[in-house]
Amino acid sequence: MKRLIVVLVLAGVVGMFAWALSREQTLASPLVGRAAPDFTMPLYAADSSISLARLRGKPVVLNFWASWCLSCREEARVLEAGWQRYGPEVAFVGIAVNDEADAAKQFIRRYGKTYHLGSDVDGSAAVDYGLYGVPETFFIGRDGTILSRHIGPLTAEDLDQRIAELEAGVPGETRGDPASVQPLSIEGP
Amino acid sequence: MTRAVLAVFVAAALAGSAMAQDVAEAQDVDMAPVAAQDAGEAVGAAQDVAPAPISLTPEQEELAAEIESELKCPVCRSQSVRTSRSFMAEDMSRQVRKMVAAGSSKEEIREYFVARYGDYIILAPRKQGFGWTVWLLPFALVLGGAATIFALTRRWKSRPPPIAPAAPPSQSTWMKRLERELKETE
Repeated sequence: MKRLIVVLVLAGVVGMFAWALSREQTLASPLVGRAAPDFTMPLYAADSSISLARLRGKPVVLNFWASWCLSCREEARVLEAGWQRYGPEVAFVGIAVNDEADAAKQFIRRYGKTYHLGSDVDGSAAVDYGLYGVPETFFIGRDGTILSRHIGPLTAEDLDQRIAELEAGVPGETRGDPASVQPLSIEGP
Repeated sequence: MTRAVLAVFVAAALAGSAMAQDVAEAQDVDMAPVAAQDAGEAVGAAQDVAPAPISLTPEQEELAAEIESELKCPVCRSQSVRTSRSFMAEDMSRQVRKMVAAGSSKEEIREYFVARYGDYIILAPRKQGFGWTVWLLPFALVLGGAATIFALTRRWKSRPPPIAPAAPPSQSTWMKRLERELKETE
């Protein structure tokens, strides 16, 4: 009887730990394999806006970034080079989150970015995509399904591989380096 | 010295800026999506606009506060969206209020966040599947503990009283025996 109680208590404690571990934040996004949430955002380039729905039929590289994010600087030129190489057959969209317009525009000029770049004015796109920090990139297929997610800065090799998967319509894994993501944790005013 | 360092910085910044512009201008790509973005001055439409506050009725405020208290701030350590002041929590709070204002139920809002972040976004475990273990285990442990104490108490009570050690024979008994045996030997 005593042994049974001890075994039951131990099993319970182990179960609790297993449950707690299963709740840990993982790289995998529940959104992969699902329809990409639509968004409409004002563009920095012109007095107009863009919505994801307008890009339906094209593979989309959707990058969340911010001018205050150091890792975003690492991938800024990679993304622009990717746009030059794969656009306009592949649409590139950059959404600045928790950023100031002047700083974002300065960043765009500094890195010579020319693809769709706009602002997540009320933070709704960040929440809609289950964002943790920046940079994070989602790869969306022609039918509007999220095929994969990349956490942290993209390298040219990453981007080539992801776009090959994207053009083939093959779902990819969630990869990246969570340590290089800057969480959206800076305290607000 | 400071001036020299400053001058180097300014020169580097100007060179970088000029280079970026040169690169942008030299690129002959389909500019249909963002026609003007390569020209620095044209970058300027999206502005800093504070999101409009979402007004709720007192009942809706209560519901929003309840939901925010149950959602984990993903970028914080054990803090709810309600208590955190991070950017992320602010954005999540705005989304909760938007959904409450639109008439979404508590369950719908929870599902919305779970679909985006996973189960871990809910601070309290859900009463389904393995989540039940976390709800029921404390009760099971308390009941188990109470049952063990009860069983042990009963066992101790039903134990027979200890057998008293036989009283050593008194001195007089020994003396009598000694005298008798001495007499016998004589």
